[in-house]
Amino acid sequence: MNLESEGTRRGLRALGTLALLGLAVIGFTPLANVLHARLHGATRVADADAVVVLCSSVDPGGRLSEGSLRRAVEGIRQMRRGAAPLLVFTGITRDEASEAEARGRLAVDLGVDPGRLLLVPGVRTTAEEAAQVSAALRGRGLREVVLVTGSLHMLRAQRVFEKAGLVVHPATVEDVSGREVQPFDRLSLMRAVLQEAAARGLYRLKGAH
Amino acid sequence: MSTWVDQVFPLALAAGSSLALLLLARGRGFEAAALREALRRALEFCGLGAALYALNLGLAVAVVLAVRALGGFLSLYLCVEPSLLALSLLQALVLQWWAATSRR
Repeated sequence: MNLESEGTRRGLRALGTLALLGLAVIGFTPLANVLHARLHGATRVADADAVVVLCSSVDPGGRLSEGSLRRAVEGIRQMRRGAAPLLVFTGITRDEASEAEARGRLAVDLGVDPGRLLLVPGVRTTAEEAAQVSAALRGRGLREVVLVTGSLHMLRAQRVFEKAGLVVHPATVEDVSGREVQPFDRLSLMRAVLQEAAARGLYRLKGAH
Repeated sequence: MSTWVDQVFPLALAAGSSLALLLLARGRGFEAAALREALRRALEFCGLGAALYALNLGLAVAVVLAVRALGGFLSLYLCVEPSLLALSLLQALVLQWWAATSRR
């Protein structure tokens, strides 16, 4: 590899120009917003057997991420409007912190009856969430769920949960704003869009949905 | 604040400070002709950074999939960790300077 040869330098300049043009297009045009809208999941409000809130993230001290909090609040709101008699929180475990337990405490603090809560901690992927929630609910004779997750994640999650044998009514949470206009925010939005597109590709390859 | 201001503000700021730097550098005797070479080097740095980021990203995905195939677990979200981009750019900077210094 000779980085100083004229041919290599010309190639690197071409690549650099493309990279900068790409950043400019993402940061200063609505491309990321348009792609977000194309991947965005819908909401279809209906009553069901359980409200299932999918995981997002928690820090090692037990503090819920913004996405996790938004989803948890939407789940509590759905339950309190009477969508279902059971509220299910899934969650990752990070060091000693459990996202599901932190959400459960929040729900109880906000007035949810602990007897109507089901926690599914320690999940790592959407496929694991679907398998564990489906097993827990079908064991109780329940099949119909209001699924609460982020706007980009919804379509993939809905397919995986349906494949796990549940009837799904999506309740989408805007945990990523699709209306960002500042360049850095649009770059972050594009990262989220590409991340979800890659995850969908991987799930399709694995036949998980 | 309007959408237009959100988008134009950082560009206008960078354009203004670039103009000030240009005037300051010219005042200090920097050659105008050397600016063209500096811009070419900057583009080459961006290109090398992009190539190394793609390489590191591919490597990260391969490691995650390999660990999963062996029965362990790593999240794919690790691959889009922003520090990977910063580290790739640092690699590009060191490699570019190393190549240029070796030539002398």
